[in-house]
Amino acid sequence: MLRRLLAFIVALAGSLVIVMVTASAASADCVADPVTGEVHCEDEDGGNTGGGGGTGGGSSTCSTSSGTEIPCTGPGGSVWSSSHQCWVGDVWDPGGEGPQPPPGQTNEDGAWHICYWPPPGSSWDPVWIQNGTVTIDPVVLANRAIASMDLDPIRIGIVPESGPNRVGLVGLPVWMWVDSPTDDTFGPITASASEGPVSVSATASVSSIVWDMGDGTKVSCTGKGTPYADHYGKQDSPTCGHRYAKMSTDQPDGAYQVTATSHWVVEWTGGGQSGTIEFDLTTDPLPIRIGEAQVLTQ
Amino acid sequence: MRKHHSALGGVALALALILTGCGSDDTEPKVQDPPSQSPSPTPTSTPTPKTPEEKAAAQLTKYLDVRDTAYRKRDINFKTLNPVATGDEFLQLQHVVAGMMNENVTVTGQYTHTLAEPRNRGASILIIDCEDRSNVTWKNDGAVRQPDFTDPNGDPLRNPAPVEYTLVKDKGAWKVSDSDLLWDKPC
Repeated sequence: MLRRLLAFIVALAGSLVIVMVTASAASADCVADPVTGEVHCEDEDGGNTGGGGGTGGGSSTCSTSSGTEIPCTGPGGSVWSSSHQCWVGDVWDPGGEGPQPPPGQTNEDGAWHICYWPPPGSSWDPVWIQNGTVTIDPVVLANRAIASMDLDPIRIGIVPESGPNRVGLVGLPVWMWVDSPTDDTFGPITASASEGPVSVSATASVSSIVWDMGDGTKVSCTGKGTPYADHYGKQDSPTCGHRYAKMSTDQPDGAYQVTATSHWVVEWTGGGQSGTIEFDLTTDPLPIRIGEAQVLTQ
Repeated sequence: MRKHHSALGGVALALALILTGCGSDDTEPKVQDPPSQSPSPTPTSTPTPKTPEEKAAAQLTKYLDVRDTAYRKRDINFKTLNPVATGDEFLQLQHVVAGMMNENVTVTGQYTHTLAEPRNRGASILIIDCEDRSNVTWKNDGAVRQPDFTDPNGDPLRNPAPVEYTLVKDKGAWKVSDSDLLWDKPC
């Protein structure tokens, strides 16, 4: 059987160390903060000065009264207000007694907030926001919900197995699958987050897995794959497989380094909006040794 | 290199090697630097920027004037900001001024800006400003901040320091859309 052919000695793979893949390094914009005097540098993709989500995955889009699409999140995490046509930020607190509430209101009813204008701006005046009406960007809540899921990369299931005394053979089928899939490694998993009157529900699931076989081949598979069993013999995997064409002896440590990158898709809804956040989680490399069968003839 | 003080208020600088002048807020009269501080020849006429690079440089000069005025007054004058800024820079300036108001941060004095040759990237033009803050004082709650700025390593920020500005065409005009403090590079 294939497993017996390929695996000579039973050896359990060590615990799989998994890592989250972060976004590729991006050039950074640096600014001197006139308030603190410190110079901060932020990835352009993750900056918070332009109104992007900036929380590691996705952003939502709002519209101005003229129909222009803009990010729902503005400077300093401010939130777009359709009624005021600006991003409503922190409480405006210029010191002293501060401005008086508008007629009919008291300081118990609300507060003046900074209003950030998209270009072109009109007036640099704070806006009065009644308590309970300041909202948070639903994308921020969606990301909080995702964080609470504590998602992990998959556990790699593969034959030939990894191990110092395990060797696969050139030309024979390699089977790949998600080993012991759970909600937090494959989904679907649902979580919610809320703040004030805004609540967001997010459902995450893996849409595909890209297997980097270490020989320059990447195999994209949907679904969990099919765990190998002895009765399959030398059949190809019906769902997710590969065949090595060369031995791994010329590779570092004499093994192909196999990784599996699961592509997560999170559908979220709440706060009158909905959206999709996508990201990848990649396993640590798993060494797979591939040799060649030698036939002796007399 | 083009050099000017921050509150020149609309003086085009495209063809001048050195432009001098010193002003303050919009409401205050413009005052020229003493001749001993500006060895450049006195221009007899203001050159009109013609090339995209010249126009962008002139716009950046105006923006820096608007920005520095906004810092000093802790207020945004959109009538002057709208024609010269957009995008992230437009928002960032509001964010900074709002933070200065809330945290009682003040600034006095004049920045000196010296612009390098613009680099035309087609859809955008990049210009590095060598920003000299020798005559600028930052205060937090009335106390002078020393050092005024620190780099990401925690060391005092060099002075002058280069800032790279990105300008993009918006409704027919070049506007400042982004800035990047090149804190680890000399001017």
